[in-house]
Amino acid sequence: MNFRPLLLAALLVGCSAGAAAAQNVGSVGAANQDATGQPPGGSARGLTVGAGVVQRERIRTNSDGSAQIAFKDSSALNIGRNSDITIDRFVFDPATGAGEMTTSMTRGALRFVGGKVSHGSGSTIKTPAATIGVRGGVASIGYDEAGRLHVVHHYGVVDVVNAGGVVKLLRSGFETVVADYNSPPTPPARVDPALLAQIMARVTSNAAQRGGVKKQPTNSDAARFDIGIQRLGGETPNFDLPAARDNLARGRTLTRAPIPASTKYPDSCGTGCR
Amino acid sequence: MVARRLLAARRRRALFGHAGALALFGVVGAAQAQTVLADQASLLPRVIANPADHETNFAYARASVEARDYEAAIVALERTLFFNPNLTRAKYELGALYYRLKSYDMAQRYFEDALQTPSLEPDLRARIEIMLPAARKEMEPSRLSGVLQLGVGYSSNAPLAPPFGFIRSNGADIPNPGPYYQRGGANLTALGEVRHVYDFENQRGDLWETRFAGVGTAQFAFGELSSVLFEASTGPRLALAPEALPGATIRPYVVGSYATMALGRLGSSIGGGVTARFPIGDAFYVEPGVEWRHLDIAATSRFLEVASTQNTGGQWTGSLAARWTPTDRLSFDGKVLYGRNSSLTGALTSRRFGLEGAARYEFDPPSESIGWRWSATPFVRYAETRFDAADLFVDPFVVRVDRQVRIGMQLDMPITKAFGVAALVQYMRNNSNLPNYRASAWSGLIGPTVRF
Repeated sequence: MNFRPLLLAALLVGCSAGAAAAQNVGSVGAANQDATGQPPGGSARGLTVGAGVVQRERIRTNSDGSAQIAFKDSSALNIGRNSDITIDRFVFDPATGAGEMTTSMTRGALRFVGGKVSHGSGSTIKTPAATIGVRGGVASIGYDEAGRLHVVHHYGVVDVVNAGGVVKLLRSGFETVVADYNSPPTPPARVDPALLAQIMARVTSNAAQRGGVKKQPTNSDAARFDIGIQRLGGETPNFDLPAARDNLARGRTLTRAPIPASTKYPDSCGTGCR
Repeated sequence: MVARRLLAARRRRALFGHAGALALFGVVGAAQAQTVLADQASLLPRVIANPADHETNFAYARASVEARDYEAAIVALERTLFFNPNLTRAKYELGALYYRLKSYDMAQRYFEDALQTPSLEPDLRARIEIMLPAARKEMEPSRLSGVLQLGVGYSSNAPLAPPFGFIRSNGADIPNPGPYYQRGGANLTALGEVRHVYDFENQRGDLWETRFAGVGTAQFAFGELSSVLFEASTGPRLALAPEALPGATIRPYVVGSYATMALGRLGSSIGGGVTARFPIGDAFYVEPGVEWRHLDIAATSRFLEVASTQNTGGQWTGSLAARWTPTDRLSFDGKVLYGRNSSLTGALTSRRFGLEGAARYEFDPPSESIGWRWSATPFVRYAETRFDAADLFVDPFVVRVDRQVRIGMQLDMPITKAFGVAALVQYMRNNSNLPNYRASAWSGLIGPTVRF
């Protein structure tokens, strides 16, 4: 029996799988040290802005570290301090916008901002306490000091599932809290603003950090691109009302036939009465 | 270089948008939407390859905002905050973006954060002072909002009566005996709309909405036509399928109205209806509705006025409204309606057909210190009313058909957080196959507004 075709096929499959594993799924959008990335089979390296990120790369931060990972489908993970996150799988076809995204977080905090993949099949974030599905959407996820997992909805649909049950978050500003994998997620409730502020502070730079760049963007840079000019449009007065008033008046002034001269007009008539 | 070229191109588009959008061309909106999507798509790979290129990053954020891909813009601007945590423009823009996503908690956080940042620019502060309270209000379970206007108006035909000439009476044309002819007159008008929303705070997003609207007009030359019209409606707005059809809602309601003229009761109505709203994508929704009212028209001293007790009866209206928002600044509203008024006589019983269209274009005010956008809304409305039978008092052989057209423009110019100015100019023409009901008028209204 000739095994050469089978061997060749196995070799091709192996090569393509290796190439896929090594293919960049995005890049480091920003990084405050210490933040490290460890590709599968490789050693940990300090994250630098613009460096490629691959599938199954493990990203860890210490108490000063934070990072943003920008994916090819326009989504991003803002990774907070003291976090340990692995990009398990990211597949994206730019032509169709379809794909798949799975991330694991064993500690820390992150904000996920969705892109084309999450708007299609959804994205999954696995934690020891629950699996979180995000469709569309934006969500903040983080552990508190007591070790409980907080999942905060900002946009889209967020499903939180574990052995204890399922909670669906559909409204911004609501959260569920999960103690462990066997405890049911709490019913949705408004998030404590202090907790939200704490998570927000963890997933970005502190006042002294620069996210890994030498030259900082300035407000004048932003202004040149009309960043910061958004305004609300005021609610317009209801101008259907004068039209309705006009039709009332027409009902009163249009005659079906001559009005007898003896017609009495109300005492409240103005100058137009006879 | 590419980012600068795109910026220049976008500015050219903006200039064109300012001049062209008011021309009511939906094609312009669609073309602009396609162009900004292409800009955004071309910038994404460059942002991924070099996230530290701030110009490209800002250009990408801008293109994403214009494409209404607010999440992509959030990604870009949250990245710039990694690079410069004191970037107040990015904080403000993020607050505004989260606001547009109805993520009011995040919007509040970013606005408050921007307020606490040293050297906050005065123009940003002015905008935050409008958007932050709005975001806070949206998170309250019980929300009251409204807009009121007091204005001075003028109409070239204050009584909206036929011109001096002939009217039909018992099938013959006779000189119009009056007392009302086309004649100009000024008025003082107060109008307002107040809405209350009670949020059940459930995950479905169910609400209870109550609306009060009213208009009062004191006519200077025709005091007997001074009128007050007041309408109220209340009912729940229920999500149909919040997960499968996000944003799709149904709203049953009860409605009532009351009108006076010259301080005497003119009529009232009471009824109910149901509307449903179905979003189609992010930029379009349709809203079918049906309503029934019982009309009760008061007895008057002039039996042969059009609005006599004989108009008392029922009124059915079915409608299909739609809104398309092709860009962040431009929206189009359309509505088609069909209705039937059942009165005591066939001569006053009618079918109504209406077609309405409006384009709202929002633009930046002349001063940076004004925190609102201004808006111009040209509109056109057509209404056709066909009566069931001839009116023997008018012409026993002609069944009345009225065709009314209104075209106009409204301009809204909020200035401070609460105060502003709004204006309306319109032309109304009622063509009828009977001279008694022909009328036309130019009218205008301008005055201060209050929002809360």
